[in-house]
Amino acid sequence: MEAGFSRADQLMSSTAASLRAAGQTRSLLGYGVLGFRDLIDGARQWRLCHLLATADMRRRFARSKLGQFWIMLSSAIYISAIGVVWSQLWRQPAQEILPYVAVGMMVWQLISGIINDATTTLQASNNFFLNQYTSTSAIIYSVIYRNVFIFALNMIFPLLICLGLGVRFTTHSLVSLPGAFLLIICCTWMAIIIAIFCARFRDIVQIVSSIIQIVFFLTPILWKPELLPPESRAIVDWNPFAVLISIVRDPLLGRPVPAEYWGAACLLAVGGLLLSLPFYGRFRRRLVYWL
Amino acid sequence: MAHIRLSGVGVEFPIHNAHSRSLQLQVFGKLGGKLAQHKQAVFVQALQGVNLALEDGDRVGIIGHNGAGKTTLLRVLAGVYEPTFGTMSIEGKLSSFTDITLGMDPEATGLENIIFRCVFMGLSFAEARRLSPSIQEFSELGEFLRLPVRTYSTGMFLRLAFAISTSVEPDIIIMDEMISGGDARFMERAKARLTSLLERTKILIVATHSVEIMQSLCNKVVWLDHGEVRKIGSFEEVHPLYLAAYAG
Repeated sequence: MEAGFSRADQLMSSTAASLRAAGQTRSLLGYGVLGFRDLIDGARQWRLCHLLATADMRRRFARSKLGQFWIMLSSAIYISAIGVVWSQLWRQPAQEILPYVAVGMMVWQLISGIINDATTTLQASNNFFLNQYTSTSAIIYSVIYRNVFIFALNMIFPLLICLGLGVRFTTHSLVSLPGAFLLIICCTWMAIIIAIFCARFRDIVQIVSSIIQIVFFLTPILWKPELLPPESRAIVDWNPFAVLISIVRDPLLGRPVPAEYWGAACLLAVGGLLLSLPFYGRFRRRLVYWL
Repeated sequence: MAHIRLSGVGVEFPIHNAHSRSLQLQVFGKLGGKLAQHKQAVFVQALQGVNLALEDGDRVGIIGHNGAGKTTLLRVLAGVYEPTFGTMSIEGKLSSFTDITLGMDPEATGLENIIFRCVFMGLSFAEARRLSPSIQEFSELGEFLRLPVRTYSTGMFLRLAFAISTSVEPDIIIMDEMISGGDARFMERAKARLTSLLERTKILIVATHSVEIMQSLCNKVVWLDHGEVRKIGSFEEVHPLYLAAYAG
């Protein structure tokens, strides 16, 4: 371990200033490299990520008879209820709306689960940070890992429903996998930024959870974008979450995905990651002082 | 060869109280004139200009009154706090015994916890499994190891944590006071095991108030006072000065 610190680092009179000063003491690129190195560093601690994620699952379902099976069961109950109500409400046959809502809902739970966990995860793991060197990215990875695992369990019931209602899976359905990959990259950088902000400004925890609820209604999950009047299309076309959900859900169900969506998703994944690296590099080690 | 080098290391804590931590003041602080003073974060200078060079064979005791910066220095050495000033370089595998239960999970069994704790200390799963039998034997917990750790008494839990934490062989050991656990008989064995581990390790750093520990374990004493190093030297040199400084 070798670390050097320039004198300019010390001149921050307040942390508000240090937020603005990001990138001044080193170049933006320098911080980007630091951030990237730490992401790799965290990946090397994969054993720790695995233990943190599984310990959390164990705690959540400790001493319950059905254990992890509850994840599947509660989403199955939720989807069935909403499927019945929705098909009545929209006067659409269940086989039309149910697979769409079920898969969309599970993808949304993956995104919102990661973001919500990110708001509190650093504060909750402060005893790791204070007692041995722990890479922030390792903690973020454990959040991603846990939520992807839950997502995999969650998807079993919707997939069975789809089969039962006669949705035909083809090789085209596999296009969902690269879609899911892009989605996870996007969630990773969002989680990093949100986690750091929430560690510093505790009010953001509440703000994020409110925003998440609003985004849920603005994103085509419980409703189809086709139902929107043309003048309101913008709330779908400019909604990154609509894009991210669409590239996972729609190929799976054989719905068309606009080509721009793939472009937008790649841009979000790569652009977001590149922009968040310097930010992460700048604050990854300051973080422990805020916990 | 393990080494630790600190030159001019300082640590400054920003104190984010309810004021600066909440967005409210960050945002509204910009509106008023005089109110804006509130958004200045308060800093605590926990360490200042610490120079330290440790090589193989160094056994360092850190002394100082409460709040002198002992724990902060240990955390800097453990890589927890990145120093705000100065440079540092550490070479060697490092184990910090500031929380010997780190990574243990009350819902998991004793056997599982042996693996968890070992992996948290940086071993691979295979290495942890290889060490497991000797840890089980030393802990003397027998059949209890198959039960969830939450069913253990505090003494049993610490006993297991101690057995695991002292089973690895790091180059550098960092301790905040001596670690121990269990009943009188176990403490006797624990002491023997810890002493032999501390003798084998290349560099030892322990923050302690105990004269006995410093005399028996340490060949160097670092006296911290208000975040600064007052004196480094042998126990015989430093301790009388330390006592004298607080006698009056």
